[in-house]
Amino acid sequence: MEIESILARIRLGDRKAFAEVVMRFQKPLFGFLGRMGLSQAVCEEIAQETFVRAWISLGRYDPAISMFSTWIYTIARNLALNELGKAARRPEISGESLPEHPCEAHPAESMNRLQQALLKLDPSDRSILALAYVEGMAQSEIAQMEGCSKGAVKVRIHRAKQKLKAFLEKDDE
Amino acid sequence: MNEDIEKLLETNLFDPPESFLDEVMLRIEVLPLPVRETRKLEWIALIGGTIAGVLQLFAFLFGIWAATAAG
Repeated sequence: MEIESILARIRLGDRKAFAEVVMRFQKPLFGFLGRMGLSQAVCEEIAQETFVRAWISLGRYDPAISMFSTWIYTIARNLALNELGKAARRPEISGESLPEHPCEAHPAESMNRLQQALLKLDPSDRSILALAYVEGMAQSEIAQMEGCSKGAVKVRIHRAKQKLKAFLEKDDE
Repeated sequence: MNEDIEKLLETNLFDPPESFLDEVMLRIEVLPLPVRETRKLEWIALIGGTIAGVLQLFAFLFGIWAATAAG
C-alpha cells in the first residue's frame, strides 16, 4: 500500500495504520542504525524513538518537501548522530555489543570486524555510508539529508569506503 | 576485498526483535493523534487576502462617498 494512503488513514484516526509504517521501515532502519556503528540495544532504542517522533511530528510532514522515507531517515540519522556525539563524550566502553542474532549469510566474526571498522570512521562518514546501503535509497535523497550535492555524495561515499577498506586491511595484518 | 566489503555493507548487522512492533505501538497508543498543521503559506495567503478584501471594500465605500459628496 502506498505510504500516502496509510498516512491518510492515520489522519482519519486509524492508529493501527501506523503499524504498517513500522513494519515497512523497521528492518531497513535497523540495518541503517547498525551501519552507523551502534550496538543492538542502542539501535532498538533509537529505532523506537524514531517511530515515536515520526508519529508526534506526522502533522508537520509535507510530501511536497521530501519523500516519507527521506523524512523518517532524517529523524533516525539525527538521533543516531546525537547518540554518537554523546557516546564520544563518555569514557570509551570497550567491546560494543555484538549482534545477538548474527546474520546467517555472514559469520559473526566478519560482522564484528565490520562493526569495529565502522566505529573507526567519523560519524559523518558512517552516516553517508549507512544511508548509501539502505535498499532503494536514491543518491538525491541522501544529498537532501546530508545537505550536499549528488556529486558530493558520490565522492563522500567513495572516500568513506576507502577508509573502511583501509581499516579492515589494517585489521587483517 | 572490495566485494567482501560490499557484501558486508549490504547485510544488516541487526534485525528488529519480534516484539519491536508491539513495543512501538504500545508507545503510540498513549500519544494524541497527529494533527495536520495548516501550512504557514496558507495562513499568509489567508491573512493577505482578507486585508486586500477589506481595502477593496473601503475603496468602494470611499468611491461612493466621493461621488455623492461631489454632487
